[in-house]
Amino acid sequence: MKGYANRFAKIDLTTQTIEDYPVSDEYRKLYLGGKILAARIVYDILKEKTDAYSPDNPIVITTSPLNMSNAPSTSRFNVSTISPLTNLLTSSNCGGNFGLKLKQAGFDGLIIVGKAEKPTYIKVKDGNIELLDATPFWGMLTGEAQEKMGAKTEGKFVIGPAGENLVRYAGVVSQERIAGRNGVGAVFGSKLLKGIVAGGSFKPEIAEPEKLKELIKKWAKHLTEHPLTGKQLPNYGTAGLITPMNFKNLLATRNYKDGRYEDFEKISGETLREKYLVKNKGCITCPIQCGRVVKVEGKEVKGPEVETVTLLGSNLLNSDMQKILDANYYCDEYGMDTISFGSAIGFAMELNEKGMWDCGLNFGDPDMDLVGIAKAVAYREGIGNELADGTRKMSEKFGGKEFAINVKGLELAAYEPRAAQGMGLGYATANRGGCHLNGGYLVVMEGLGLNVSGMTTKGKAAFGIFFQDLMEAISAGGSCLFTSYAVLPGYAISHQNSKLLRAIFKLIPYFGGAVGLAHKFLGILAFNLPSMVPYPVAINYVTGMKLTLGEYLRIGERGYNLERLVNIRQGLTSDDDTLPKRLLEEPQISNKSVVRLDKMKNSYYKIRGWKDGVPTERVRRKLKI
Amino acid sequence: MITVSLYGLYRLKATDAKYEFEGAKDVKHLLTMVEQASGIPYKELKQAVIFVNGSPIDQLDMFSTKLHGGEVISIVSPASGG
Repeated sequence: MKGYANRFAKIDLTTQTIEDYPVSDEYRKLYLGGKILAARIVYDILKEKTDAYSPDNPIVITTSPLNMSNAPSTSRFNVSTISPLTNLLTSSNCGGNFGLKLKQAGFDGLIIVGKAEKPTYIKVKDGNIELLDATPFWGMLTGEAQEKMGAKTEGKFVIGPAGENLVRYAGVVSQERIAGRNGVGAVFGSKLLKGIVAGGSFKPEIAEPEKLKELIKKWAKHLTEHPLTGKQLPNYGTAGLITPMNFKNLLATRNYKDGRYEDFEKISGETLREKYLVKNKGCITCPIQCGRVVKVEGKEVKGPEVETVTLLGSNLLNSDMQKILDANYYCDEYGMDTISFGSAIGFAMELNEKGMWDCGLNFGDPDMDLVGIAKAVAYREGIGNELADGTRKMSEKFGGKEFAINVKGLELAAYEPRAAQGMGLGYATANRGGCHLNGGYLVVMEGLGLNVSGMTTKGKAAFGIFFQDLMEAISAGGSCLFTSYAVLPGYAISHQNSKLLRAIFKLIPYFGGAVGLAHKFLGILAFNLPSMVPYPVAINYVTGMKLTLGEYLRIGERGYNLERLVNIRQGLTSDDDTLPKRLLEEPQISNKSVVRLDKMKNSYYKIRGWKDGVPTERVRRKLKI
Repeated sequence: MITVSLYGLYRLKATDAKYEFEGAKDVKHLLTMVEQASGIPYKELKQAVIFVNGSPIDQLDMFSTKLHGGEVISIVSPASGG
């Protein structure tokens, strides 16, 4: 099929064998690529419950049809596996150049199973794959490993000491970007796989190049003119969210006791821009350029995102921005997720405060050595050995389950859900655990981008499902999820106080029924809206498929259900679709609310067609799973 | 004295990040003062997400929200991403 390399390889590190893995055009049409195709491959390969550190656990790295199409923000690639934090299916999405280089090497993806006898790296070059000795690179930080493994022109995807030492939230790094969440780096480490290098000269054929070129021109213009993707994100990066999150009671503070932080200005996107920003930086083909370049120890390095600023800032009552910049840099160098890292520290601080674990960590401690703690975690030294296991495992050892802020084992992102009920539902139902993006990111509608009330539960299940499925499909196609903010009408964002829009925002929750109905009968969306949702049109021009908006959303739904089916095999039940007790029963300090989950969850299952959290036979038939 | 802080995109267009005013009777009146001091057109300020002492004006009396002096006003642009 056009737009693809039409080749997957399966690599067994135990037997040191490499073979082609068959992926049909039918699969490409049903699952596109990225996280959805990866979920299907994991579903096919794993027939029974498998431990994250078992050699049988596959690492599935997938590219997408829009990679190498030059469409805006389409350098993203995916890595899926069973997570050591959740023991469920995870998918971690990454920027950097590795995905493009893998496709240029002539592969749509790699499936890696087994366990090597000694440190190994994989070299993928112009259709050939070699397994090479990584002993000289083992122990290196991710920056140095990328520099020394393979040629300069090749793409790299490597772990650091955190992955080697099985930190349960270790990530895998490409350039300065990281597939951060849910411990995919620890699975690399468990297989003694230091990394992958890739490069080549393959170029996929494009089905309708002229039409694609025209669409890309309009799409890029739309993104650069949109108030969120064209103004807010380029100027302030994602850290620009800190201020509105604080005012809307959404900023995770003091291990999620509160949604506001009195020193928020010191860690805001405004402060980052005014005092620390050297320049903007972004992924290849991205007109948004949300990345920040800052200085750490005199070097120009990647700056932090909103998640990092929150979890290492307000969540720890730490208002020292330079400490956040330093720790962010070292977390990337050690190769680990800043969200889970920050959340584990916040949890440890509260355990210490309550006398449950004498770890010496205190909220608001001006002498806190965040870089030192990161090092201790990466090498599993001292208290770092406990922190490296994440909040759920720590709560099993020390207690405090009710304030261990994770869902299914994955620590929550920066958004305090007691002020955004739909976001709370999203966290609870997300297949990969406490993830805002897999959860549908409804908080953008509930007070950040738009001004729909975050306090009502009405309609949130239907809208949550719509955005979960949409983001699933966007990701599988190879686009950055940040482009999806431009799906929201720019006028609605920049004219929030008009009487008409205020009335519409009040009415939106009542449209939940209609959205739920549309979800059931997606066939009625037998058209495309290229100016609003350009993704399926771009995929059509690249591949020659004939996707409509409805079919595109159905692919997203298929992905979401597939992930759920893998998780059910891994032992997931509806009891796991919940939130920590703190968020359900302890009112947030600033807005006095809790997440009213039960009612939303029932509606959610009903609209999805799930019985007790399990997709029914009817849903599976409808989705051709 | 009423303290006004500008955030997000509004901060890029203004000469300062913080202003102080006296005598504004309500939010609408205050925004006209901010226009004069900051150079940001009133019609743009009117579309901001505005908070009076941390409470959003859409939960108060919108632009007619009365001011008595001593308030802290925050003018924020919508945002997304993360």
